[in-house]
Amino acid sequence: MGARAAAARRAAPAQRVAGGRSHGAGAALLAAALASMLAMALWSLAAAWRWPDALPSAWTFANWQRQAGSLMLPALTTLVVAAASTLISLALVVACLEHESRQRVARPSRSLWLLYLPLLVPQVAFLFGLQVLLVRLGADGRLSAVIWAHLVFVLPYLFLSLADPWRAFDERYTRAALALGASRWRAFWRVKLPLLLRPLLLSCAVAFAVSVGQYLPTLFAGAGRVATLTTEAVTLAGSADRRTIGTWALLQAAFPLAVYWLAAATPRWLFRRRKGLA
Amino acid sequence: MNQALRLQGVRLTVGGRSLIGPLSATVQPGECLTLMGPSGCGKSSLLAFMAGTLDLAFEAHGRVTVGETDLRPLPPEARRVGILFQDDLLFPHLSVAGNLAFALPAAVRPMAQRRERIEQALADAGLAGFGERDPATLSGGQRARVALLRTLLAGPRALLLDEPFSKLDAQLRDEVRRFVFEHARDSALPTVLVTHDEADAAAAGGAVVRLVPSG
Repeated sequence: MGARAAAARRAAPAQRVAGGRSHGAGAALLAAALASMLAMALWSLAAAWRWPDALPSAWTFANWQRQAGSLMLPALTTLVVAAASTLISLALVVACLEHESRQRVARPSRSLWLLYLPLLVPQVAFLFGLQVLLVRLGADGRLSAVIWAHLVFVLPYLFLSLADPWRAFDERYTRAALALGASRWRAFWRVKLPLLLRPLLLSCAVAFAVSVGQYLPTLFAGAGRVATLTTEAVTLAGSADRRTIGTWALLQAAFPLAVYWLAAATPRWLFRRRKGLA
Repeated sequence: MNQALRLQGVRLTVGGRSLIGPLSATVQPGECLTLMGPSGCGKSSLLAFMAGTLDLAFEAHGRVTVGETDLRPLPPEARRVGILFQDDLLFPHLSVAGNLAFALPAAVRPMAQRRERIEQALADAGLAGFGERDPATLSGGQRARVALLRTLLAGPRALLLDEPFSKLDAQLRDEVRRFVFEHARDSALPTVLVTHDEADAAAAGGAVVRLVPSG
């Protein structure tokens, strides 16, 4: 069935190895990522952890308490920017893909290179130009500028992860819905979107993670005035205080993880009684 | 109350080359026209043309009318032409009742009345109490019946059948065939059936048009 094929073919989350068959390599990578996050977690709760101890010698919540004040605003900013750029990209990508399927156009390859460009060219190479543009427009340093700069990177990833499952959708479902008298909008909203929910949410999770991880675009577009978890964490990384770094890094990793979990759990819960979408 | 389906000079061309037609036929309410022919001769495209979902690669000529209404200028959702495919295409994210409710026109207003219509349709088909079931847990024959019920609940004025029995095994085929044609006759719907199978044509009991691949 179209929905199952779509679910099976959805893009792997950014952390897994593409191809799916190399389960060994994927598992190793995942284990490494989890191990480093665990280390961060331990550091954030450590009062003192000296080599060669396997675990911290003293535990404390003081790290979190101390950082809580300065964590709040960057965390909120990160969330807002990630959510905004994800949602805007989602609207644009869905509109683009749906238009494509309504025109029944075979995959257009002409403008695709434009989409991939920001992913292939090193950020440093063109972000400066971006900042010049923003300064000219008097828009730099604002949150909207940061969101826009993130969009440049978030949108290609969202498109890449959503395109295949979207195009693999069995359009006969739409045709069946139309034949039953449903309007185009109802067929889209009540049939196509729910059946594509899992790939949709997963691409949103990927997009969210991409936005959270952006460093240079935030710095350039925000003219240093917009602080996100990533910008602060990178600055703090130079402090060599592993407890502080651990706290920030853990929070920075926790956001995308939470969103991934949500993206995976929501369809599973919503369609818990629907074997056809398992 | 239902009116005849009429095809006048219907012709499909692809890339300038004629694929099928010209075909002219009239199907009275309750009757069934059978189109038979080898794969690839354009039978399914003909049905798609009537339903309004013809692929853009094809060009269509001719008229399709139900009674006085010309179907061609209407979008597929306004044509009120039901279509059944080989696959039942029941929406996997909705329950059986959900699928049927999707088809019920919004004009059927009070929730109680909608539920009653659905229950009645299910009982009619020997599927009483199946409302809350997940379509994926139904057997092939049950799914085929729910698919027909769903198509009929939408209140179509014509019925198109695109080889809907070909995926069923022999015994089930007989049962479902009888079910479909009985309901089509009872609802007085002009029906067009596309099939390879002679037995389907015999069960349809109407005129048979044999299509030969052109060119």
